[in-house]
Amino acid sequence: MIQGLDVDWSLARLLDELWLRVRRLLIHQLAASHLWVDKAEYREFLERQRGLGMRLRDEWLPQALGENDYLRLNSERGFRAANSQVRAKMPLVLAFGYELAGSLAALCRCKSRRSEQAAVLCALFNFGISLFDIVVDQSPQLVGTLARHVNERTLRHLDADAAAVAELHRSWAQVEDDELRILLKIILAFFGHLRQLYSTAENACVDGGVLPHLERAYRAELSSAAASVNGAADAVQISKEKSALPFTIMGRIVGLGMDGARGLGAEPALALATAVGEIFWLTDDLTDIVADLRSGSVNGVLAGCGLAQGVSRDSAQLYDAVTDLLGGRELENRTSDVVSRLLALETQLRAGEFENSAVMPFRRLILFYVRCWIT
Amino acid sequence: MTGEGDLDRAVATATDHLLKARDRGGLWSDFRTEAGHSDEWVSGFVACALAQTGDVDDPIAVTLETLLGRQRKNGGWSYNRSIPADCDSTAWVLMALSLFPGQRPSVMERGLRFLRSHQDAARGGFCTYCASDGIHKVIGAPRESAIDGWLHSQPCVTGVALQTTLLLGQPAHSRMVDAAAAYLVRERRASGTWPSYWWKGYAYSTYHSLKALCMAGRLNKESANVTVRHLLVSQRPDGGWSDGGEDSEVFATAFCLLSLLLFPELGVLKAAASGMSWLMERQDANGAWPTSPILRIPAPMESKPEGMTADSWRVMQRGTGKIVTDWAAVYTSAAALWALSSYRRLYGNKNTSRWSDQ
Repeated sequence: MIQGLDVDWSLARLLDELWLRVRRLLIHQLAASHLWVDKAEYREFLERQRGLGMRLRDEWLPQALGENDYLRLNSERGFRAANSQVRAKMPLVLAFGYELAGSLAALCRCKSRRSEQAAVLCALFNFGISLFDIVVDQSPQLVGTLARHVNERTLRHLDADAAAVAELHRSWAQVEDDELRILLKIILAFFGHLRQLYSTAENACVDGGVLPHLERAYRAELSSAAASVNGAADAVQISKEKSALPFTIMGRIVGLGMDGARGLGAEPALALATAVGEIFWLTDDLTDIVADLRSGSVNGVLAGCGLAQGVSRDSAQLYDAVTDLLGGRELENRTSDVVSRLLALETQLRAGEFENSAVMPFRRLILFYVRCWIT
Repeated sequence: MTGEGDLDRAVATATDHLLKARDRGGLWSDFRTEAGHSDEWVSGFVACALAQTGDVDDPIAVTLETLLGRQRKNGGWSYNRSIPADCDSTAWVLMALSLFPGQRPSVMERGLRFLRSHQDAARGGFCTYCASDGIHKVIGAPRESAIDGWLHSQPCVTGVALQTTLLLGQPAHSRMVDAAAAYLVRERRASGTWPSYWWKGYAYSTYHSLKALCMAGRLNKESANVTVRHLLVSQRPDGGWSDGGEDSEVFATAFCLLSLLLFPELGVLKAAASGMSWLMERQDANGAWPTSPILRIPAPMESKPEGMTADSWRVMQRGTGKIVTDWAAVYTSAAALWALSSYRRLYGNKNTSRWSDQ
């Protein structure tokens, strides 16, 4: 530690350095491998994604939420302190789920009316998990209530049992807390769309379907919120499941939207979605490192350096941890991992039998959102 | 009545007007007081208003860069360069920075620490200045007690400071948030509005106090209903609101409309649409709105200026105990733009028949 300096003062500078170092490393390494989207292209893509996201928001959320909750969501009051974050990110979150699903279906030559339904479902799913994160992070006191409403039993009912679904509709509409009720309505809407897809799917059993993975992702979310992490390996696993599993789930939803007889089938889409999920998991852990360090949230990079969840409250401990992180090679290694996985994804795209015209749009989509994550 | 597309045009011309009204450093200047023009405080507010339009990331970058360079060693920002940092200016600049991603952690951390140092330990509210800021020396007061009013916690400052601390990640159930929220609840009038220290009337203070309590999760439905009822009853037949005068005023209308729009599910659409139309009809061709005296500069020893009668305030004169206009038409225009952007986000640009609350 630097002698004579106030720990809080010097820690703030160290956190700046950590925050900057991560971004510098990512940007430089991505640019060196021609994986960094230039500013003009990024701005233009961002505009289009926002436009698409707003169209999806206006088209699908009013029917999912009902008029009053839709207005609450768009007001300056919805989701409390996270309000501006929710409002700013909502279009991109919806657009990413939708575009990812659409481009996976296009790559596998399976674009159809059902793949469009799957894309809307992925948009709702991506939006739902982002709201879930916010509710769990912002209102830990609601986690118990949330778990009473959404558990393995209700998830199974939502998947299949029409009478039980109707009962959940009635009961969840009465939930007092605005944010929790909105989240529950999004979950209901998601399962409504999912049942529609299931009812006509030819690939309903792609390695066990969507539900088991939903349950795993849900458990990972609750574990990370409840600080019930046992050691570094557990933390890394939870961090991975929390960030990467949603992509696997979206890959499976895309599979449900495919007509079995046509195209490449569901497996290639699932493999790509899983690879993309791991890229965003690693990127997430790097870009959120300072925020996670301060809040004590689960983070794979921190866990890999021996910083268990919740260590972050003490300034002197934080100072030592950040010094170690900046002095070691972990950040470089993680950044290289992101870059090499992106390069591997490109190889995968070139080597497969994917639809040629869909390869570049898919690549652009992934690189755009990687830049979005970093900046 | 306003037609389809008018709201988009109003927002676009107001945005354009504001973006063009900046100096070379990207800051806005407005108000003229004994301390000169304000740039840091005004720029924080205007940047927040522009953020509501959805896409000004690129043009606003230069503003944020200049503001970052103005952060004082103590972590705060000020009315302008020649005055000590204060809690209100710091809250506005930090709020602006937090609405645009990519800020260094230490900037926010130091700013947050400055805000915390302005929370009154006994009352829970935030004060504009604390004794150690040294504002009494700048204005030539003989001793700190001569500026008691400026050192007193106020709802109009607390509302903004509490929002900012929550935006920066202060947990909603921390002692700091509990105390500030409890202060705001205590200061609330029976009408569901909040008095203001630095502003004429209740509109500004009410919106920011309501929003802060909503963000902290401390506003119950009954309280929200009381405020909404008061706002609906006090709306003038022409659709505007007034902060104490005979006629509807742009500044008051903007903040009363924003308050209503916090509760879109409470049957406010007709009143909100009428407030929105009133604002749009008053917009000048260049995108700005007409101004009026809005900012109060109470005498520094005055703690409760809301008790003073309207004619005891001097308008546009030297010294304190006066009310001044935002002569550059920036502050009022930014408030109106904020309200119209919020309306557009909720109800869109088209007619309001889709929404059935009336």
